[in-house]
Amino acid sequence: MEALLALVIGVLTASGVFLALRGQTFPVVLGLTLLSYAVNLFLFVMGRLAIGVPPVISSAAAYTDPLPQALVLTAIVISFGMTAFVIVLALKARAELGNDHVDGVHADEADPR
Amino acid sequence: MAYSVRFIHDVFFNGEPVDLPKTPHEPPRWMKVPVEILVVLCLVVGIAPALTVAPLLAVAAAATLQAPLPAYHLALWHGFNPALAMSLAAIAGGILIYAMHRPLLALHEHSLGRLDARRGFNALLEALFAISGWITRRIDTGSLQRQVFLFLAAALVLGFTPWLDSTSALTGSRTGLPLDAVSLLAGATLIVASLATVWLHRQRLTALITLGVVGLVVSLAFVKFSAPDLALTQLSVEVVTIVLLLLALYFLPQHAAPEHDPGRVWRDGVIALVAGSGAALLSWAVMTRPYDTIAGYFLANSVPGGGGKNVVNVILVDFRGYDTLGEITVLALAGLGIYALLENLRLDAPDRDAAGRVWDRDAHPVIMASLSRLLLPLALLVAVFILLRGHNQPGGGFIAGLVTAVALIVQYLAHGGAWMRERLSSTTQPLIAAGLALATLTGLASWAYGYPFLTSTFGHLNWPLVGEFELASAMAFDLGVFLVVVGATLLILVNLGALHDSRTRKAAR
Repeated sequence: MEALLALVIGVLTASGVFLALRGQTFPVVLGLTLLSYAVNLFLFVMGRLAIGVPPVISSAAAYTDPLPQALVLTAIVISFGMTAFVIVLALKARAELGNDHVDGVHADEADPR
Repeated sequence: MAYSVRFIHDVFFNGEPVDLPKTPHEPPRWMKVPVEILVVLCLVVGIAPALTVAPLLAVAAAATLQAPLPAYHLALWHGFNPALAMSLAAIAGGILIYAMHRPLLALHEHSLGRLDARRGFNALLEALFAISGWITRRIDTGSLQRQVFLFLAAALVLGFTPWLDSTSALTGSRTGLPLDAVSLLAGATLIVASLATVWLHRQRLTALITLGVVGLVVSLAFVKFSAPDLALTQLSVEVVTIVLLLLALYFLPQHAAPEHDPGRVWRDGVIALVAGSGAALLSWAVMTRPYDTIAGYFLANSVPGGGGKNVVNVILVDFRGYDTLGEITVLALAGLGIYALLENLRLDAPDRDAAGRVWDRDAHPVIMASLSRLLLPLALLVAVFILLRGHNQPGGGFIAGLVTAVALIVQYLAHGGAWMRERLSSTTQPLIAAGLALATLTGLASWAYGYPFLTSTFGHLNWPLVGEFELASAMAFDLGVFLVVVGATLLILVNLGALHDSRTRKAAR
């Protein structure tokens, strides 16, 4: 199970990094979203994997680590705020600069001189 | 030394002064007194050091050393030692320079114009400016894409270097969980969806749908690994994120131009692979190692100290309430920042979709509108339920806020912004302000009772019909979190949607 989770985190990171390196704003936002999944999962597994032992106090004998969960919960909400801000920034850039390249200039639209 | 020799020799031993504009006379009495005081001090210190400077020196030396002083002896004459030899060498050198001072001064006069230190200094400075300018131009070409590349490459180099001389084994001693078929299927789905997002990122709508699949499987992973709160949060954030990206995608090109530099794709592919394998290996190394957690404290004190059985929620609103206060502030700022960015934004959006078809005229299908109206009270009831039980069961302000926001956004989607504006104000800034104020006031209230900021308390009330009901001050804090989340999420999405509406109305005319 641990190997599967490690593989999943790796694939999410690789996909996120590749998309974050693209030139246009929309793939970059997709990449940042994938990277935030990867980071959230990575932080979450720092508490190790456990099945059927949620950190809700009951008559159960064991609980999983609640601390990474609390940290990741706010991280999920904050990364939503960040995604929203970045995508609106991309819209603003498109309105002001007339294209959707992260540099504000398309390589093939650049001045040919 | 040379200057002292010149001073003494020229004043006292070089005969009568010549070429003076005025004849010097003996200085008045009080001009000589300061000199005489210094001379007397010199003589006394030299003759009897132990009586004069010894205490002062001992204090100063002890303060510098910050330790007891070693044994030492103050005297004028210590016999022949290296210090004396060095003093003699200095005196001899000084006398030699004075003896040669005429040819040396002539040499200085002669080479004054040619050996100019200022010219050398300026040349050095210009060279340094040129080098730093070259380095800056190499790194900062005005391209954000290049900056991201350099940033990631630097992170990878810094991350991998310590591994090169690491001797510990990659796999630790902790025994893992067995793999089951359902998890394998979910993991495979996630990996395929993630790769599909990359592969199809030029067909943007499709990529967005596969991104949604990734998010949903991530929330399933949270369900599987004992994190119900995270699963609920991830699920509701996922819905909001996809709606947000769909709204934004309307104003962006639907299809991206193909990459015109295949080298860059390969370069980025290599970086992505290295980063991905690094993250995977690191997670594997951590997950297979046993560890000591500080969770015991939180688990033990959650019920007696925080009055809640859901430890994750108690950590958020109580143990680490200050953090949460900061986080809802960040969310509020993101919402307000987006509101400011969207002000006066003018965007051209296509009247037709990518295939050249006109958008459907029936923007708000009647079945969806009716159903969503039926669902609203139910969804709000669920949100209140989640908010109230959050302290003891999976739930809480963050999740309840997101559920409420989703319920309201569905109404916007089903009926359109104009219909909603007649029924609900789209300015949610007061909601954000109220939430932040409530959370801060809950914290401040503990000052009134002489406790530190954000200390929480709780008690049990016996309500008629309901039975015993717990009331915690952390619940007021959680209500503040709830209000900020609802306010910020709606502020972002409703204003982005309003951009959409004004555009659609223009097209309809």
